[in-house]
Amino acid sequence: MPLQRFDTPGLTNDLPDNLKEKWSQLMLKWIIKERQNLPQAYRDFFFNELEHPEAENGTVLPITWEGFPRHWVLKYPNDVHMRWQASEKLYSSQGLPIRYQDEYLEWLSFKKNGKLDKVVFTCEGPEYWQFIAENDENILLSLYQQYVDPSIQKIDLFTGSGVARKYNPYNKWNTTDGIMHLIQPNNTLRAEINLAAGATVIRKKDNVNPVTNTHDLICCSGFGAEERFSDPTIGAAVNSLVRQGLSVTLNNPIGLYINKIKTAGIEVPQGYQVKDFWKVIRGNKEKGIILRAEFSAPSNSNINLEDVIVGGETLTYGAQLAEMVEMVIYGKAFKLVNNVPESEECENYCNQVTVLSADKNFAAINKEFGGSNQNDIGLRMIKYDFEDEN
Amino acid sequence: MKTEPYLEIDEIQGNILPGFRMPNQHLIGCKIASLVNLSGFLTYILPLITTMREALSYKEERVSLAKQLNIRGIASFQLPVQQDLFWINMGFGNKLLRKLTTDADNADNSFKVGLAARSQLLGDSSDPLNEGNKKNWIVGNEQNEADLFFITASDNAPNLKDRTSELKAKLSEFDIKIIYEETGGRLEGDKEHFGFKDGISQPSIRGYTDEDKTIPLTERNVFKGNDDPTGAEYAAPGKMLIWPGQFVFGYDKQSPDHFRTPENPSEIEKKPFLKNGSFLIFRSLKQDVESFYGSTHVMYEQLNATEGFRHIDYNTFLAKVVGRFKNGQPVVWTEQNRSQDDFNNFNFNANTPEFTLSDGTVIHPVRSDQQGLKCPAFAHIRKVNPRDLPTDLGKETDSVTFRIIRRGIPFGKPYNYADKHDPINRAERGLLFLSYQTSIERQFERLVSKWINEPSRPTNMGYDILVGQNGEEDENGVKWCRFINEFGQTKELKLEKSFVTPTGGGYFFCPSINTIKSIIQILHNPVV
Repeated sequence: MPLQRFDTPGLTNDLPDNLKEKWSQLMLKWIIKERQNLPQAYRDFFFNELEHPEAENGTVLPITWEGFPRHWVLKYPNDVHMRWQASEKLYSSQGLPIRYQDEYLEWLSFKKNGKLDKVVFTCEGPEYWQFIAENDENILLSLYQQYVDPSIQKIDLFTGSGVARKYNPYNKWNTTDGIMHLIQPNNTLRAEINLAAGATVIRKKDNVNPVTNTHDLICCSGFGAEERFSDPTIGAAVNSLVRQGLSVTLNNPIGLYINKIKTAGIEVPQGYQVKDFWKVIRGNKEKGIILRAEFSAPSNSNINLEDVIVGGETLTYGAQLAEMVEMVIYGKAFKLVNNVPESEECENYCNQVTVLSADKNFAAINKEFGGSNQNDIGLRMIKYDFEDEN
Repeated sequence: MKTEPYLEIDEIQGNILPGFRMPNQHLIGCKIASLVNLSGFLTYILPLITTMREALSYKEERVSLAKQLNIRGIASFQLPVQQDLFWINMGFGNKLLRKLTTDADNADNSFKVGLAARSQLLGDSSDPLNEGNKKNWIVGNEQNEADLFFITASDNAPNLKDRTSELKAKLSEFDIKIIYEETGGRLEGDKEHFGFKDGISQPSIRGYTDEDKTIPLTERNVFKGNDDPTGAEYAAPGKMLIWPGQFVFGYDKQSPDHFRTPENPSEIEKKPFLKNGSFLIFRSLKQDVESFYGSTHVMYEQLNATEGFRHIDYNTFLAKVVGRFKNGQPVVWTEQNRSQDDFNNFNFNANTPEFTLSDGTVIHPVRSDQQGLKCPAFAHIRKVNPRDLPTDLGKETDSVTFRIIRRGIPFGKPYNYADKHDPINRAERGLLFLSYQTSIERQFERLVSKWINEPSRPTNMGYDILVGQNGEEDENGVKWCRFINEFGQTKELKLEKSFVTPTGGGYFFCPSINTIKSIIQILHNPVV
């Protein structure tokens, strides 16, 4: 059946129908805006599926990447314990806490009596939660209570009052004491759509036409960050589809997902299976659109997570499990236009803006979160309020 | 650009660089009861360790004469150059080395925990009844890990046997117990047991073999074609240059962000103990030839019965599984006339550059195969070396940093294809897989656990069905691969068997000559 509206990420059923429709409208606005930002010849190469029922039979293409951040692998190439530990700390940005987990996958390791008790992973973009907060505070509260902690109150989730009342994504239940959705500033749903749209443009640079080198592709079109595993692979995959003459979009439901949680390499106590420990909490495992997963001992067991071995090592950090997580977005491609568009000149974004090099990032994140006196880590903040759409 | 380094050819063991390549080799794994006799043994063996200088000297003589006589492959080892050679290289296991230093442990956590502990991560069966489960390994599980590992080699088999016997007698004399040994031999045409030419695509390593820096380890033959300053630099068409620190400690490493500009090794990697050394991975991989041909034929028939895929013949089907035809010709070349070209000259994402060689020969671009119409994304050589493709693990510059040096050699008698009932066909055969790298975790293990064994990585087109394993719970080892044709039609095929079974192995550190001397010193003057 042709697409009727954009569904909520992971096909969740959190919202009443009117809000589902409103969410669809928001996705539509974003797609229209991204298309408008493209060179005229490329607008049909990033298509709006609501306008193209014939795309129903388009090819759905999973584009996968590693969930554990590239920058921590490069920062600690030898000492994996330092790598795991550093990746789990809470850092400070403009006085606010962030997890430096930038592959659209964030996790929190819960400890009990100093020992690892549970690890929760999320890949839900912050915009969806901001959207719920703006439209129905009660739904937001009940979801937080359901997934994070039953004791949560509205006062925990909002700041200010009256017109200044605003959802606080950095609330303690999404930072220090719990995890509900992504907060790393680059981990947004909008970034995903922007990246997919921007990557459709075929580029030429000097004598090279088309540009296929990832660094040049990112620099020419200004999408994503090359320091990550995710953005270069998404961008390159989208661009190669357009080079084949295909039009692309993000498959419904638009979202960032956990595709697979590896079990090979995880050894659990005798009598149990790894699947007794991995629990998919939100989203759909069979469809590869997992939004939230948890690794914890089976209920009614006396097993300690430190009885679990991951890659030959005692499970001590959630990061060890993050290395077993495969992320995915789903592109959709079909032949809409007969000709491949002319390559556009490289726009040299790398010369125009300060691109955070790996080194710069590493130097900046040496401050752990601890209050407003912490040095800023220099990342852009999440833009939540959708003012450019309203 | 930074000058390439002088490679200390009197320090580096010869099988790391340039590689033994000898037609006859023997592997020995040993257990040490105590350190008491070790310094005596190391003092004995030290002058026998074959260095990079010795291996290079022989290689230069042999290759030079072979070129004059137009002789290639194993036959070149019969040429009247140095003869009756006996070469030895050695490695140390983690438990033994840890008694002396933690430098190697600190450099690589996978070395520290060992192959047995990492086995399931590599997809090996978790079922104790499965032959591939580490409990059934002939060497390398928690009960039979080797402390010392030797590779001996010779140009002639009887000499290898005799001289290896002398070595074994010495080991016995020093109370070092042999727990594993196997003889390897290069097969005719340098093929592995499934019949495919092996060892074609090795990293082309930067650096000089003389202190004046006039003789590069990898001969340079490109006059024009390396013009893009951010692109890869080729020593010859298809031979992308890689900084040596990826394979030998103490040298600049390949950067994950740049093809040409190297990056410094980490402080841990700069430890003097590690300098000029390398990590060695050994995996004894049993190959089931009958199952390979039986199963692939069934798969081929399924594909051949599918509209849109009927034009593929069985040999091409196999070439798509491997990525090369049996003679080593890349399947990417299909429908391109590349007969005079080097078998390594191809890319997947973009056409290769046009090269002008030093002698003026022009090598025209090879068309790429981004979609995998010729060389599917699941093909073995594409999985382990995606060349210029960005992947789930980053940019194409990242992929270069995962390369390994392969020094494997087949074991067992060749399968008799002419007579299926020949009793020889029931004998065990396979590959003694050997690779050198400076990070086990970020090179070998990454290739195996993230790509070979993962059907959706780097591209969602299936497992590397040639050597891949599905170690996922509840999936019974079933693998799949997906073919695609020029009309975008796909056909997915399933495979319930594995053609390759791990039967043993180990992770080792292969130190420099100086480091072996320092080990002897440490053993003489133990820290109290």
